[in-house]
Amino acid sequence: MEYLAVNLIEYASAPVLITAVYAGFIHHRLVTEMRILSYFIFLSAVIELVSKVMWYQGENNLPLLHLYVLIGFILLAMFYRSILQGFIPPKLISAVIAGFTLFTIINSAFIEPLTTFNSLALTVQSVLMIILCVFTFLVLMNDIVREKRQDLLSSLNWINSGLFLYYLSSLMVFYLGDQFIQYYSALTNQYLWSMHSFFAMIMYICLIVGLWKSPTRLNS
Amino acid sequence: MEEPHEIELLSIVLPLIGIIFLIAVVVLYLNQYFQRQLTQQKLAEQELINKQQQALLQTSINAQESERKRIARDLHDELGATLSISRMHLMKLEQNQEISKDLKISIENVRSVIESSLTSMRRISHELMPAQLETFGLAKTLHTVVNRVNETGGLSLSLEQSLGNMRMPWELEVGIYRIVMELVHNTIKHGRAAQAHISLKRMLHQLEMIYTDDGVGMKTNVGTAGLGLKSIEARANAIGGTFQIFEGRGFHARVVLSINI
Repeated sequence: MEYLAVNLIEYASAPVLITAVYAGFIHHRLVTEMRILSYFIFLSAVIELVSKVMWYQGENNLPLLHLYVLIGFILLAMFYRSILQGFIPPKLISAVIAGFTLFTIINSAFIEPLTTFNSLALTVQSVLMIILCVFTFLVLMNDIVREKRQDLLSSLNWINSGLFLYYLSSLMVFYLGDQFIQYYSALTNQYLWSMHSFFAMIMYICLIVGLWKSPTRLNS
Repeated sequence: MEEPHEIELLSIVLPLIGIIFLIAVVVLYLNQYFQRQLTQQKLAEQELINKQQQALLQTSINAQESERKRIARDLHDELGATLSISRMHLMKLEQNQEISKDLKISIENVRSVIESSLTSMRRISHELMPAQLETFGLAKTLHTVVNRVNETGGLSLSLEQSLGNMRMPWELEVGIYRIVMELVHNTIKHGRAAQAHISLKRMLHQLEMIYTDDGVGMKTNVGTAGLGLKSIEARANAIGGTFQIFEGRGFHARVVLSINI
């Protein structure tokens, strides 16, 4: 069990890199919505690679997480804005992006410094992402929307499911993370983080399937 | 291995419940907004479809009226002129003393047929498009219609109007004229009425046409009524008006049009 947990954390980089390579391969023929998502995947891959390098060099790579939370959320929010256009208040996502940007800057500057784990920002990001994912599920269940976005439906279901599973598990991990570090053993913490890596893998698998099923510019 | 600490209800579980509650509230709000947007979109789409259908109907009716006008003019100007010239030639031949009596009778017969054709042609031409409507307008044309109906003696038709010499756009005049003609036709054909009344009143930006008769009445639901009433409703809609039939004794119909004069 311990071996499995260690391996899951060790090889968690593989799915994101594979997804990024695939996204790069089909990027030129992706529709606008999927292009925005592909930028999120590229960002994840770059952050993952740089953080690995920093890890092997013995440097603190947590500042990258602060950056990843902010830019990653902005890209995902823009992705949801493009697919939910006309179904949500027009400036809501822009306001959420602005509010979250302000919050993460204040958080990194005064509450959780750049060299520490930003569990508060990650928790807020997870809550916002869960709201967007659940709402998108509701929107995609509507017959009129299904008819209008028929081309993207299957792809969006995979992507939304992946993001929902990941951020739901993340909410638990980031929310309980501090408690676990404080009160539980290193092994229990390792199990918790291996669970997080497992859901990250699930998310990237869902993203690959979503990209694979997404419409291309030629037939969209 | 450290001793696991008991998770405190107040510090961990309650905020978590709060977060879940917050997520639920925001999702519910977004869903409400989404449903409202969807309803508005549906209404807007329906309105667009209705407008397109009305425009299509108007175009189709306009095309029909233009064609009727053209045929009526061709009949009157070309066929009418040809028949009149033929009649004149025959009358000239009749005055010729050199032709035999038998031939004269034959010529008289042919002239009679031509005169009958001329009368039919004028009637058809008038029914297709009364020239009076274009020249003198709706009120005067309806007066003529009333006089013609009354001359037959089968129905006593009266007209009350406050239009005077006011002219309206051609589509409106033709539309109202056709509606009145269809209603009068219905009364004569199916109504078994002794009296009928047309009221045409202009209000501020509206024109109200009320038609009543003392006949057997008609189905009040246009959807289940005959082709005539459906055609009246279509015409009323095409010129931006509404058409209603009221229940009660006899037949009572009301057409209200919004006009910009």
